[in-house]
Amino acid sequence: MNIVQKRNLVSNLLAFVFTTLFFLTFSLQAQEADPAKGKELFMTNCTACHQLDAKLIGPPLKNVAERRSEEWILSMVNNPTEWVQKNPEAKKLFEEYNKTPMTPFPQLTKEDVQNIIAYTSVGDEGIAVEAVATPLVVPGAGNPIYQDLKPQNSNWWWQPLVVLIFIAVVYFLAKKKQNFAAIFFAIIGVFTVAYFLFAYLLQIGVDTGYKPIQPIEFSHKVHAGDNGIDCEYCHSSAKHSKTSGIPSTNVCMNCHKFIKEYKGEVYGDYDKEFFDAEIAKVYESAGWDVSKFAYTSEGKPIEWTRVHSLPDFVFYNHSQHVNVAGLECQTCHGPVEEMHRVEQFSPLTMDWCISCHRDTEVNMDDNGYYRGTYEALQKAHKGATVADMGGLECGKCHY
Amino acid sequence: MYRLVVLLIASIVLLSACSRDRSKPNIQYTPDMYVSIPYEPYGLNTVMNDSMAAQTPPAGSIARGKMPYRYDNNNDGYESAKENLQSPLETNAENLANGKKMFNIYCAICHGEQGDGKGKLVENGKFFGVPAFKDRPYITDGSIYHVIYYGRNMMGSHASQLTEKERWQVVQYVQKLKNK
Repeated sequence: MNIVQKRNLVSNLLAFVFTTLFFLTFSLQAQEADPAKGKELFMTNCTACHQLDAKLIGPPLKNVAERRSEEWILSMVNNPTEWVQKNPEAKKLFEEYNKTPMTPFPQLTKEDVQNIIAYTSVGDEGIAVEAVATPLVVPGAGNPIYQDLKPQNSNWWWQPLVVLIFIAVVYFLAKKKQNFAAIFFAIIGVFTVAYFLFAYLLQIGVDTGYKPIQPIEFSHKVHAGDNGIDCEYCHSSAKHSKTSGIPSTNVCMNCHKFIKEYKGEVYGDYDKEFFDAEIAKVYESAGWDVSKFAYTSEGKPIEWTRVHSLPDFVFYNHSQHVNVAGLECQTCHGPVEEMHRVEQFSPLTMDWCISCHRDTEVNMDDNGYYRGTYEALQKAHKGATVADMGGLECGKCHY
Repeated sequence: MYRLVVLLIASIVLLSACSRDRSKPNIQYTPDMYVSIPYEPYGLNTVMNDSMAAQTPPAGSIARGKMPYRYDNNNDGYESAKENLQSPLETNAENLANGKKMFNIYCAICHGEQGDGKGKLVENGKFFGVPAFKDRPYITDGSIYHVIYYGRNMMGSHASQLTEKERWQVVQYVQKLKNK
């Protein structure tokens, strides 16, 4: 009996030790492996400088645990300045990455760092991601400012048909020797033709609906609409200059240094590969090498095709309209944030300019321009339009 | 019969006017007045080597009324600007108002209108890792200006989009958001 008890004791002890060990490893693993938490931390703290697969400001972090020990990583995260001084490997990295110091993250605990390391080991595939559909919010969709400015639908195919019917009627009547009716219809016909002829002549030089194909399929809807980037972010000289400014490629690179592939709405006959190639055109223009994460060549300018063009005998100044008058861009350019490829919305005719100048009341709140004139006009007429302020004088625009 | 032919031709002309290709510009009455000889901004200038009317200023030139920025685009420059660079503007409502306007156009898209790092691009999952100003208590007027001027890490330079005065106004507004 005793011997049996002893054997039981030994096996019990062994079992206890093994189970404890097993649970220890289990709990260790459980503590380490929360890549989902790690991903969250990685996204908020690390992605400004690191990616998993590619070089950014700092080195790629995929499988970083295979290269560095946990203590190494922890020291680098919590106090990089000191660690770079102490550790030769860290120092080498520092030299390699243009001596850009890493931002210290003393708030990240050991557990946080372990989670992040877990994420770098499994990557995105290791995490079940809930697909979150981001609702597409189009700013200005319900904006009334351009509702009544929608261009007329120019569906003209029926007009030549009317002409042809007239010709047929007149021809038929003349053949039947119905002279009075023939002359009557001929006169109406001539007037109709004259009407269409004038309509044709009047639209010469008017480019409403002009929608050129651009060298890069840049979508204003994706940038200004879906992502809500302000017009003036890119067209930054509109506030100070005559021209609204075509952004130089460095402005594109403010975002596209980071955004290397297209994740937006795929529209038209295009696919994602097409849009990725369009983004690559920006890199080519900027002279940016994605793999080296650096500007490596001279770059070359993009030859955009101009959409809106006033005749050279007209002066127009963006800053006067945007800054002084405080107009929305859409007042003249239409709902650009809904256009993939930009088209001319307004006719840009003199009639169009003048109509707006006649009707627009000048807003003088926080606006020092013409204040004296405005106050005098206020006394005389109660309110002043642009026309009252001299907005119809020939020399304002033609000189 | 002759009349019929003339009218037919007229209607064909009209028809051609209707089905204008919208990817091509319309014809003009007097092209030599519409498009005159002087160079257009961003236009073609075949005199220059790169055929562009818009040229970068020659190296070392200084624009009228402007002073060059004397801190270097590296970490030493950053540290030095952080310590030494002072805002020339006084903090007042007018500067803060324009600072806010500029911030909302140029910065809020990533940094968020409250400066919490939750701008629309971050919310949409296009851009990550934008810190909240509150988590960077050590930034100073000088360092903010330096970062707007040159950019830092993933942030690019915004010097081409903002004038010197506007940059300082944005600095004021960022300080306001940070200390809120």
